[in-house]
Parts: sequence; C-alpha cells; structure tokens
Amino acid sequence: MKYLKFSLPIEVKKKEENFSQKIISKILKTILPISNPDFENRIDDVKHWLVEFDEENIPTREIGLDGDSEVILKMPHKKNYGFWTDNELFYDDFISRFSAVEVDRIAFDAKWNVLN
Amino acid sequence: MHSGDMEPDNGYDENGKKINDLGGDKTDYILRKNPFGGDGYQILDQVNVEHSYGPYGNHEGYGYRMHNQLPSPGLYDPSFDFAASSVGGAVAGKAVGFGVGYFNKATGGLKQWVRTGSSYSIEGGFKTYSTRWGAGGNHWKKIGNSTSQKWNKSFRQTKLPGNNWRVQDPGHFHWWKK
Repeated sequence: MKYLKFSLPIEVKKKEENFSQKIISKILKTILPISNPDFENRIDDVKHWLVEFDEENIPTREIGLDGDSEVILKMPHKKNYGFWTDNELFYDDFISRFSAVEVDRIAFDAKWNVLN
Repeated sequence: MHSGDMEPDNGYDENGKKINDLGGDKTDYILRKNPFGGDGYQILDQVNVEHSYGPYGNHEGYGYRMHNQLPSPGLYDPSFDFAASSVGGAVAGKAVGFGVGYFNKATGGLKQWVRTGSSYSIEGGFKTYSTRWGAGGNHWKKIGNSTSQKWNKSFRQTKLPGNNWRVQDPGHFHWWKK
C-alpha cells in the first residue's frame, strides 16, 4: 500500500448552482443513486486529500481534511462510494497533476479512524 | 479502530476473500492484518449482513448470505410484504424479494452501474457534477457474478460520442464545472 497527500487548487469563490443546475441535479438525484449521500455537500470543503493506493496503483481509500486538517469525510464508507476511488487516476497521476507527496500508513490510519 | 479487543463476526480481506469464520451473521468486516504486529486486525469497512432465501443454492460473501430454502415466517422480511393480503400475493411478494436480493448481490446493486454526484474531470482538470456508469477503481470486486463483472468493466470503458470535455472521461458524463 502507498499513501499520498495533496491539495486541489483552492477555489477563491465558491460557485453556487444556478437555477437550471438545481433542476437537473434534483431530477438526477430522484432517478439515480447519489454517489456519496453523506458527504456530497462536504466534498467542496476539502482542502487536503489523503489517498491510499493498492499494488496496482489504484486508489482504494480516501480521506478529506478541512483547512485545520480535521477529517470531514472518508470513503468508501457505508453508502458513500468515493470521489477519487470513482475516478481513473493512478498513483503517478496524483503526483504529476497535484504535486502529491508521500505519507506513511500510520498517518493515514490515524485520520481514517477518527471518523466512524 | 483496531479490533484486537473484539471478535469480528466474519472477516474478509480487501479482495473479498473470507479470512476468518467466527460464526457471526450480523456484521461482516473488511480486515487487514494489524500493520503494527500482534494478532489484531484493522477494520477497513463494515456492513450489516443481508440474508436472502431462494432456490439458488447457498452462497455467501462480504455483506450477504444466500440460503437455499424458503424462509420461515420468523425470517420474513416485511419490506417485501406489499401483496400479503392474500396467500398467493404473499408468496409472490416473497419470490420477488428473493429475486431482488439475489439480483443485487449478483450485480453489486444499482450504484455499481450508475450514480450521480460530485466528480473530477481528468480531461478538464477540475471538479464537476457528473453522472457515472460502471464501477470505478476496485469497486467491481463487490459484484458477485463474474459475467456481471466483465460487463461492468466494459460498461465503464464506454464513452459518449463527441470531443467535448464533458464526454472524454470513460464512464463519465460531466454536466457542469463546479
């Protein structure tokens, strides 16, 4: 297992959904399962991500931290499918795209165990 | 959380392979050997076990048990009791329930095939609101049937026609940039 920590470029101004987007998302949520029902509204608040990768460099677990490095989400967890674990990016992609740095398993597990 | 001080009902490794059998049928755990040594395990995930009954043989896996029998009244799941006003209706309701349970385990459930919510566009390099199809990452391992797994992987690789960033990522349609 390998672990990375990175930050996405911070949005200066948080975009609110416009009227048509609200209608579309409401329809979609009515007819389709929501990927991360518990954390959908927290994903945009994540400042730092911790991601675990398997031997094939595929993301297997992820933790979202806020600006104070407090855990605000972890996935996959319960009915929450995942954000990066539902993408096609691999270990090296996170390093090249987001300048991710390695962290150790102890640091990852300590954060993982914070949220139940 | 470490489980050195508890007894997991049934433990599975990260590939869904059963690694212990302590007889419990209420909760299943994805376990990893404690990286700090000792006999304990680290719990990566846990689910309540769902039981279903039907003429399909006995099968079990992470989060489910399929029993090759009709249920006793005490095991009847009232959620399927939509037609219990007659004997025939009740039997039909149970049969549908068994079928649904089996179908969910074989296919992994609807979310393994389609879902919607926040996502990330690889092509665009920004967060989006998207609809996805096919299982992402290693989620396909949660699909019980090997043929369904293959179909799901192929489904995931499909792209909608066009050159727009909205359709360039396989298994994604990005509705808008966030």
